[in-house]
Amino acid sequence: MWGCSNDFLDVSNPSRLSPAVFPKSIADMEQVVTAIYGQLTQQGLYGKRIFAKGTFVTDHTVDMSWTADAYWNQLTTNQITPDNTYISTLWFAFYKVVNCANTVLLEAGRINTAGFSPEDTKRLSQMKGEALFWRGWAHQHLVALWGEGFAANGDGDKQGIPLRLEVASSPDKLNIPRNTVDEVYDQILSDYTEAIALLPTSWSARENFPRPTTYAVKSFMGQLNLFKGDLAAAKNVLKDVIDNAGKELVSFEDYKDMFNEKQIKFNSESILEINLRNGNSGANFWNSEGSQHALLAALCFENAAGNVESAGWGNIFFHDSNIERFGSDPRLHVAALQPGTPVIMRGANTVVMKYKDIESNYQGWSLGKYIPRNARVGDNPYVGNSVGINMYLMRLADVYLLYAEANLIDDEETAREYINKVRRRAYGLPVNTTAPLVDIVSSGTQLRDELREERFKEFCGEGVQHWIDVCRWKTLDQEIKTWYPNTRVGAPTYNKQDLYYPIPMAELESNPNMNPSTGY
Amino acid sequence: MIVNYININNTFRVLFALFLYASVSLPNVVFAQQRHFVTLEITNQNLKTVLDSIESKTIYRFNYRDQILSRSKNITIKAENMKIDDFLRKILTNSSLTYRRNGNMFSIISGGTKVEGHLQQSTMNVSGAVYGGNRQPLSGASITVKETTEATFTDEQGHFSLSCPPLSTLVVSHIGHTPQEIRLDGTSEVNINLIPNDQLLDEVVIVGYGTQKRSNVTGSVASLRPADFNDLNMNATNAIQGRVAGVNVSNGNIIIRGAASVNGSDPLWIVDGVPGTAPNMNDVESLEILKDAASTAIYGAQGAGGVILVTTKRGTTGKPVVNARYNAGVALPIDIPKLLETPDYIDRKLAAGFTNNPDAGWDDPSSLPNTNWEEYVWRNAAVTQNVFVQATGGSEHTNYNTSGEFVRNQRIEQGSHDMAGNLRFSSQTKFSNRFKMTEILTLGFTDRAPSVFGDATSSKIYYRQVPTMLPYDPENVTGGGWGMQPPGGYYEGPNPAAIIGSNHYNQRRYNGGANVIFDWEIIDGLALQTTLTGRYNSSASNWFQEYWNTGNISQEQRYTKDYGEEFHMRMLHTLTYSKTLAEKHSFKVLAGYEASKTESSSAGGWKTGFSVEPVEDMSLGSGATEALGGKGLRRSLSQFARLNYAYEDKYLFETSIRRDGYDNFGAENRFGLFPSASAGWNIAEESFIKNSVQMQWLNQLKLRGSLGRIGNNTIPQFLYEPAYTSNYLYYSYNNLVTNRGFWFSNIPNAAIKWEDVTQWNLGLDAGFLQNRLQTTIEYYQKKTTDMLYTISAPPSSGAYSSDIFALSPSYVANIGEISNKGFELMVQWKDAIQDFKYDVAFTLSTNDNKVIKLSDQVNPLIWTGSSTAINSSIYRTENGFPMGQMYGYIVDEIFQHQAAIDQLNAASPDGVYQTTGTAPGDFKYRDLDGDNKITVDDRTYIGNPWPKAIYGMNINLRWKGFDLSMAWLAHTGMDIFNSTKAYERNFFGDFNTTYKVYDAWTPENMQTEHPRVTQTDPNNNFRNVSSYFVEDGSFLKLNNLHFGYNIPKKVLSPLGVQGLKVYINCDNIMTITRFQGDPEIGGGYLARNHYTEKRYPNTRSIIAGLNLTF
Repeated sequence: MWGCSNDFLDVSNPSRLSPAVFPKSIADMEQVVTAIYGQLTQQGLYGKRIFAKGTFVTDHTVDMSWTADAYWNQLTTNQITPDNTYISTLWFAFYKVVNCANTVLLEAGRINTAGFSPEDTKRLSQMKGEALFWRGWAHQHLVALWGEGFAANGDGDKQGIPLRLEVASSPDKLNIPRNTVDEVYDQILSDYTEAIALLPTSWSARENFPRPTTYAVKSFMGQLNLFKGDLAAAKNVLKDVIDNAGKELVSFEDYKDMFNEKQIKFNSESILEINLRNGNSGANFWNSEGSQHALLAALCFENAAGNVESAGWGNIFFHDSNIERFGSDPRLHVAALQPGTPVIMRGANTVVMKYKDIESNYQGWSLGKYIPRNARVGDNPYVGNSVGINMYLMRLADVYLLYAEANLIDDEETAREYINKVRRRAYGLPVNTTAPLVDIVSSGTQLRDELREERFKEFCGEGVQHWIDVCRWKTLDQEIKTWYPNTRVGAPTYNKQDLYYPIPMAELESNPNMNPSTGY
Repeated sequence: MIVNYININNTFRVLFALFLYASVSLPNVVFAQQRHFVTLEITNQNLKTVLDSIESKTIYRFNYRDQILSRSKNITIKAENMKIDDFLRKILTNSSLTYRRNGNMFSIISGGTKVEGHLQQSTMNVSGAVYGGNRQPLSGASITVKETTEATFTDEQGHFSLSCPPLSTLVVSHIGHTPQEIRLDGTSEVNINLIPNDQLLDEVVIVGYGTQKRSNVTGSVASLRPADFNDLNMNATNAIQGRVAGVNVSNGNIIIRGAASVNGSDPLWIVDGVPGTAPNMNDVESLEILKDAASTAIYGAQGAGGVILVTTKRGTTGKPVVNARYNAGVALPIDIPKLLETPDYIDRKLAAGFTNNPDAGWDDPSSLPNTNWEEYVWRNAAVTQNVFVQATGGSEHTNYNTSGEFVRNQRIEQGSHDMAGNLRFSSQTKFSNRFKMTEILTLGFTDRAPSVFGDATSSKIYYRQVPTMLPYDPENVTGGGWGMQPPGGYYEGPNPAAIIGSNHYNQRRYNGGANVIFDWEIIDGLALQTTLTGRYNSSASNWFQEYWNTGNISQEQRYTKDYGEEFHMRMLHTLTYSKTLAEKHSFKVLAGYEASKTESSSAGGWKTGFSVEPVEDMSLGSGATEALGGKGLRRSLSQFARLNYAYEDKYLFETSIRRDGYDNFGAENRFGLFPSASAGWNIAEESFIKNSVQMQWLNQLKLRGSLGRIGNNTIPQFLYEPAYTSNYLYYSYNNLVTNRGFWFSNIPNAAIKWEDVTQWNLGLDAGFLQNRLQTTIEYYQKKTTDMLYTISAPPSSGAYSSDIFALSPSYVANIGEISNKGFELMVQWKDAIQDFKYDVAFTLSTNDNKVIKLSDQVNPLIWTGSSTAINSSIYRTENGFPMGQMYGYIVDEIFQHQAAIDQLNAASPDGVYQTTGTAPGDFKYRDLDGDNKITVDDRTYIGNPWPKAIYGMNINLRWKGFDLSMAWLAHTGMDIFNSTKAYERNFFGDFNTTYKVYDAWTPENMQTEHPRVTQTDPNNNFRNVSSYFVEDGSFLKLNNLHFGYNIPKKVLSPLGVQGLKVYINCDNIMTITRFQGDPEIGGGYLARNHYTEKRYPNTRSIIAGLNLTF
């Protein structure tokens, strides 16, 4: 009662888990691994912003319906400044994935395995494999979006991104500089190689399907080798996936509904996809196990009063020029929804309408992929604005087209065949049978350009593929001239630095060892 | 029998009397008041009989050994309403006895030999005059010759004469004045100026863990007596404003002697000896503001921001006195802007280049709604009410002071209010002359309907609304009946009426505390004080959010309940020994020990799926749910010591040391040592001044200096320790189960430690002309090292941030050095001209803040301060400059013609001077680096938020029953960053704007400083940080005006009322400034004086009150 000794002050935070007590078991480790997947569905990435406030805007998949946001408008006109908050949150979000992957590697290395069963030990090594893959995957996206060139174009010695290979567990580990593009590629390849050795070729339990298999890693490894310009390595590893992964393209009937609420999750074409769930069980609006992408890109429909209503916020719509760009390709009606398309809203049959708030000379189609066609976002079953349509990170069609691209230089026949497999499916034809009305027969530059257009049509509105393609092929200038001279917030202007995003101001202001992006 | 026994045994007699007295003291006090004076007629009785009869007739009690009473002869005396001291002196004069008084208890003791041994010396005649406070002659002042019985009184003109030895000392006293001693040194004529009690300088001031005579204070301590500015309805923070030099109070935020740290350094509030929060001013007896390190070092790691010591009211002996106060008034919002009405909104939108969408109906504005949203969001006037009742009374042994308060204040936002009630009971019991117990008990509650809109923490600001939207729409059945976003686009925001109407939010807090203080004087001079404190807080909040949909925006239905409780315990022991040797060397030694412990826990959760809205029972919901909760633990442990030495009260010296331990620092740096030393010289006590008849105008002169080290520990706990959190991370692998991901919640910093502040201080206190004029001048230097700061970490670390939209994570580290230097002046003139009393106090403070060095290895720059409309950080902190300076482009002019732009573009290396879209009506930014192009390198320092000087002036005037007081405040030489211009003079996003938009540049209105308003703003006029937004923030304010009238006593006494005052208080009534809104903004350290769109409206208030005492 009259006094205390100095150890009176030795308290530990009763409200948080200390590394002294966590993780101790393989179940604890599962929660550390889940952090990686939780990051993918966060606001900065597939949980909301990566497309609608990121690549779909800079590659002109979309045009702006809501024009009041200056930073958003910057993306639309390809005039981004380092203070752009959407580019900043995207950068931060990818590094959060890296951080969580590094945390798994740290804890897997120091956890006491004395009491582990053989199954636990096996699972622990798979976890290391998952962590290595996701670290490589995040670094690969970072270097593709912020690296100042692609090694395949001879830009391997240009500024890349900082490689984070350990948890920033103290202040002296924070301020690391940028590595060159080549250095980043080498590290990713080493992570992928190690991951392949640790991961299984397939997962048997449904709950493990969102995890990478060796073939998922190999698909990204093939993509990276292609970006690197190592065509032999790319061909080798992609062929391995094509021949041995046991995957096949789904029919066009399935392809049509592959991106809406009727999708079959983890279908035969899917190599890696993010599992998403309707609803919102998080503590607030911003946390969920689904994605809020459809909130921003909501379709517009005719409501009971006969007016245009948006099935969410409805800020962006399918860029008018893309309608012409697709031409008669059937995939147009997968990527976008034409006004008049029947949908069900609030239990009633109705139709898609021309996008709200835009002038009469616009066609105003709604986006088609990852947008539910059966309810407003926010209403049941999309309570909390979260939509549970799974998103694809890698599917067989991408592997086919990457493989075709790797063969362009020295094996045009193989290249054409793999492009045509994807095309035949799009026209509802047997994939492995030549189809003269559909097949590409060109060669040389024309073949290259047709491959590029094929990738656009296949992946439009689906992922980051098109923006990264435009950057690595350096076709932004041409795309703006040909297809996107205008947007509702002004004309896009091409400068050579527009092929990579600027290192965010927040990074420059807090990391004295960081070099700004050239030209910004 | 018992009575007999008591009579013969005086020990028991005393004890019994004490017990009896204590037990009957409370009822006794009712008539005790008549019993302070002696009225008695005695003829030839012995002393014991005399004393007994006094005991029976008065409140006084005597204590003596029976044997010594025989030393007195029989007494004959006639007394009428005589003061007890005078009476005793008279009856004991011719005996060898004297007495010692302790309150109402008298000990009759042997008078010693001094008087008897005194030999008559040769005497001389001394004459002179005695004057009072306003140099009026004092009649009836008593003049006695020290250590003799020789005495006289002054006549009507204040004159006196008596005879005494030439080297005598005269003691001059008069009711209402401080007695004064004058050494004659052979002088035969003396004029004596007595100082009135109410100008008493040598009051006792409260210092850390003790008290000190004002004249012996060597540190920098300012005292406020709330009794001097009663009935101002101020809280303690506002009361300090302008009244204490060196303290910058702005908008409720206190900075003592400059911003010592980018981390912030709020002062520490010590209430009745223990850390607390500012209490109700009506309960405050005194406030002391400790400014220098020598005064605050005894509070160690908490002292860096200065310390405010509060002593609350204690009971007063006597019959119960009840004081009741009631006031009611209104608070009027003063800076709610007028937004555009429908026709003007459409007019300006079209002029800004927005397309006229046929769906919108803009072609016929009269067909559209014209909603004035201010009516739905704000009240025109918020009614405030306050009732306060205090009662005090007691006997010599036990006294009490108890008070209750009830407050009900509307807030400016519609539907929100604060209600609070507090009870306080303090009492003091003397068990003996050496042992005393004091307890202070408090109980309180608050009941709040918080703001849900327009709050500083909310991004739902009220500029975001359009007049073309209806507040209610009965056709929007599925959307809750709220008005929909208007057709045709251009508005994606919420319906303000829906936000206010659909949030059912209530927060309640309950608190209670007990502070028990034991004082034990173990032997003469050695005192032990033990303080035991216990406090609890609990809180409960209920928040039902109804579902609504108003077009593209909806609110989810959710019911959230949160509960929390906190329990705090503290013990504090001090041992003080004071001793004076040879009547010259006074020593005081203090040793202390303090430990505290706080535990808290919280629980809460939410649910959805209610078929009825709103409900108050979770079980009625069937939807998703989540439960949350946490636990907190906090401890501290300290030891401290202090030594005071004074030589004849002239040369003063003090030194202290504290060892402080807190659990918010890692094991390596958990304890810190905080030493200090100070010295003072009471020059006016030197005999060449004190005894000089020519120097009578100088009453006080003290030079003092101090040096010390203090710390700042205001950072969260456990920064040194890594931990896991599952915040934000949810994933479902199989659509059935939700899994949580765990990741590190922080970047731990094992080396985290105290922020160190070293300060030295030099001060001069002087009192002139019977202390009617008092001045204090001080200079200080304060240096902060190892500053604690939350540093932005690179986002590439991928580390956790509690803000889901943060652009980077952060961690806390010790970086850098900051210096503050300042000058303070206080001048007070207090006098009376007959019935007119006046008191004018003036304060002046300057502070010069400079960042010496931020961390070289981490970050040499700190950028902060943001507005949604502005595209970069507004404030920059950098080596060699004051903290948080506004940094951006300088606007030279507005381009009037395209030719001027073309000319600049032609000279630019890449053909563009500013941006490709720059056009007439846009700002021309200054090209500072001369590269013919505007880049980030053309930014510079454009504004300083720190005032060059702060002036305060308080004037109190009293004439008969009237009193008038005014509190003036001025801040000069500082800037305000007005980012509301981006909202009030421009269409930001889909927001509405104000009528000021008509001032914008157009080809027809070229003589303006406001740029053109366009949909796209390609030149970033309203987005770039520029001098356009920087405005002069200097102001002179009449912060408070009080006018009161005391109803005369003769009217009241028949009603049994002692006092009744009626008054009016006006707050914030007049401001002279060039700034558009209320310039008293303050707030923050690194991003100060930012006038933002997220502000809550400022108010002015008018309150009328009654103050009744009976």
